Amino acid sequence: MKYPGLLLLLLPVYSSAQQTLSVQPQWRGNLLETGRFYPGPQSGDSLRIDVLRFYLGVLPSGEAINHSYHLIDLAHPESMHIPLKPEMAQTPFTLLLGVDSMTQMDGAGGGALDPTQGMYWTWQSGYIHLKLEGILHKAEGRNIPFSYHIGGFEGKDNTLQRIPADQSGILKPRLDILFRKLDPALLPEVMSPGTKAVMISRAWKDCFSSEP
Amino acid sequence: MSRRHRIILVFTLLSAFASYQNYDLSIPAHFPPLHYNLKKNPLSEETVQLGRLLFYDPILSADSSISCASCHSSYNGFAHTDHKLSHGIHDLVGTRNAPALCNLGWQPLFMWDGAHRHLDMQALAPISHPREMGFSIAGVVQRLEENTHYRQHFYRAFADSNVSGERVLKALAQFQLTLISADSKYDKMLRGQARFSEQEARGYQLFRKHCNACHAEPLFSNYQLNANGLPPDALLNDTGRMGITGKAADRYRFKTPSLRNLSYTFPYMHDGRFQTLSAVMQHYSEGVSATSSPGTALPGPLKLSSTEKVDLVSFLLTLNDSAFVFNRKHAYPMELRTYWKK
Repeated sequence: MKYPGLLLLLLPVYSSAQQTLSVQPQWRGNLLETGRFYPGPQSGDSLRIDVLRFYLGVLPSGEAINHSYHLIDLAHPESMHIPLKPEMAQTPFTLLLGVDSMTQMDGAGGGALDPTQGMYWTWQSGYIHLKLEGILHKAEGRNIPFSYHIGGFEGKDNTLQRIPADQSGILKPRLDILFRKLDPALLPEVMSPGTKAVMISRAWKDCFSSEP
Repeated sequence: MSRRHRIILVFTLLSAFASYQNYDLSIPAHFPPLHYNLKKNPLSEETVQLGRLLFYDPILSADSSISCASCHSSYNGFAHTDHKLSHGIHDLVGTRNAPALCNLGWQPLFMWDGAHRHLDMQALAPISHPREMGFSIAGVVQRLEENTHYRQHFYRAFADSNVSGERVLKALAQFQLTLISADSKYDKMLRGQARFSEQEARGYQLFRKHCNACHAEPLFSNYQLNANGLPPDALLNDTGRMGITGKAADRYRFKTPSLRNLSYTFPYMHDGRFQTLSAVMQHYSEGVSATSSPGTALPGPLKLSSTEKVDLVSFLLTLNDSAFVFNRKHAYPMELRTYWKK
């Protein structure tokens, strides 16, 4: 290849000059807080997020460094800061929302992927990429619990998503973007792979976009 | 460090390395390549033994009453003989017949509906099912962490005493990988160590003509999901694979079971509805229903004569492997008895 460097520019590369990757979930530009109600999808509704857990995969380019998975949990602030290995400081890498299909088929994983983390389905194969649970409070006073366990790694049910390039070392997923596209009053539960899970995984990916 | 100490250290390291890589699975020569990737979970005597203890220990269930072996006993070919449907904690009855276990390293799918795709992860299903063990892998790990006896076994198996879900599942998988059945009369015939009787030989020809497409030799299953023309049980209303995928095309599709050790594993079918092989023959000969949409491999009833049915059963009995069923290395570990007495 005449200009191999050009290939790198074309990849969704995350520069890792920093030693830590931080995740700061947001709601309309402010840090997301558990226990707090935010404006819901419909006028007058409000919404509270009780559980936000998701897998973040760090995939360095080059075969010398193994990729790693991290379980981000809103209830555990320490999980929001991912220390990067020193050898990765100068290595470009991409990020995944979820667990890739090769890893899914590797058998029992350890650490963040240990099934004791509660992020592996017991009734079927596959890691749950995203757990999002909370309450929608309707204007007329009704409370609607919502629960989304998003996963699936086979064929058109694959919910694995790549995150767009970023240079800041800080990821700011905007949950308000997801709930613009998802009304818990109309769809309170998604607990298995399928078209609904794929739709939510795409909306979840959009939360990481820098576009308003 | 003195020379003597160095020698002791090197010897210890070499011994440790040898002990963690030393289990010979003895793959039968007439079997296809193993499906399970042993590189991801290299077998050792210590880990196999830990897996065996876990397999037989009711510590895996919520009320410590049900072990894996409760429904998969070695002397029943690792099935739940004489039980149509198995019962779990608090005598709760499940919805399916406990499948016989053997040659699991060759299986790409587990459970009657193929719900799990990896042997490591399959154990999560019975551990968590409210009608089986009614527990959680996190609960199992916590119990084992508090158990000195098991901590010692984890130390021997993994070189430190830490307990994790990954280790529990991999140890269980290692023991189950050793459950290789390849010493039946059929296997001996292939190895030139036995000869079929005339009736068995006739049955073998019939088998190859009518059954081998799904119950493929030498494992006697293609481990795919198929409908076999079995009318659905109105009470159980089990839709099979459709319960996992939600797709109408998967209605009444179940994983093809292996036919090894049938004398030990009755009753038959996913709901245990047939007590005898004669009843199974009757189904395939006359009872194949269009309701459960069998595929092209079984376009309709086989219309077998009485002689053909007997010949077929005669062949199927050559798949019994008593050496496997009564292998002491697979049986209840007496160590567990001593440990529970404490």
